[in-house]
Amino acid sequence: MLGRIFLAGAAVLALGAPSTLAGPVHGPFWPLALACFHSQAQSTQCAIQVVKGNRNKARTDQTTEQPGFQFALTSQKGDDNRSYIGQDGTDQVAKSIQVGDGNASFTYQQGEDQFSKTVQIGDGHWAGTSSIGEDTSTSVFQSN
Amino acid sequence: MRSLLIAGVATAVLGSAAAISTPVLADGVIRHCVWHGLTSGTTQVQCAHNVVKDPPHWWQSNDDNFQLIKQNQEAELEYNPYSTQQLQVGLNVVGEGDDNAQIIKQHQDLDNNEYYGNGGLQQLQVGVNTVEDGDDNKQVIKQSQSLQIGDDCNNTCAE
Repeated sequence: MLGRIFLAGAAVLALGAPSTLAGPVHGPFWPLALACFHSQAQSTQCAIQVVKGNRNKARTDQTTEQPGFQFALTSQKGDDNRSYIGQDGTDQVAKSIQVGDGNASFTYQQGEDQFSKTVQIGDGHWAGTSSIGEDTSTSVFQSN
Repeated sequence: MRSLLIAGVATAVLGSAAAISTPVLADGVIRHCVWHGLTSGTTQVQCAHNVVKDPPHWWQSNDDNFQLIKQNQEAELEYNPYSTQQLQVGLNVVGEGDDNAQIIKQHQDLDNNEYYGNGGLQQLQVGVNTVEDGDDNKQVIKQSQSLQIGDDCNNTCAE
């Protein structure tokens, strides 16, 4: 399961780069396919939110009760956008990408293998992240 | 499920290559979801999407849309080896517009008393909200799953 998380994480890192936000089709469906590709289910939740524009708000909450795998990606291109990703428990991946100025992002994950990454490009970002429990790893990348 | 995912990958690749709009892609994913539901010996499948194309249809508007998908599935199974067991897909798509609200709430609850190897899909939820271009939009996805499975029968449950 952990391997799947890293695989999904790597894929998301590779494909979730800002370049994917550039086109008119910043396709919600490739991450859908990627995130769920190794599912074979027994519980899986994917949530993807994509928007281009200003002052948009995105909120994702996911809870799972054994066995697991949750994935959430929020991608916002524009200014003064806000994003929140929740997630509660088991193997979890989260990713938030914001390109523009004055964006804010908060990520929270609670229990088990977890991984999260926030990427913000532009001026005046704010990022918060909170992880509780087991092998977690979070990373925030901010750049002008 | 794998056929759905392969279809998703194919759709994504085709969509990227031909720059198909997200509403068209949404249609494709939902069609595959429905097809999967019809052909997989299913126990509970829900597929839903709200789409405002760009430009919108004559009865639609770009702005101030309220797109809500609420999906809830609950099942208690004794034995069900190979069929899909719970699958939900929800997509809200706005091509271009302002002040839209996109909400997806999904919940699945499965109590599978006898878990049979890796036979069937057991729970999957996918929720996607997308606005290709617009301001002051609100996107919410809430998902919750609960799964109880019995012992792994190791292919002997049916005997």
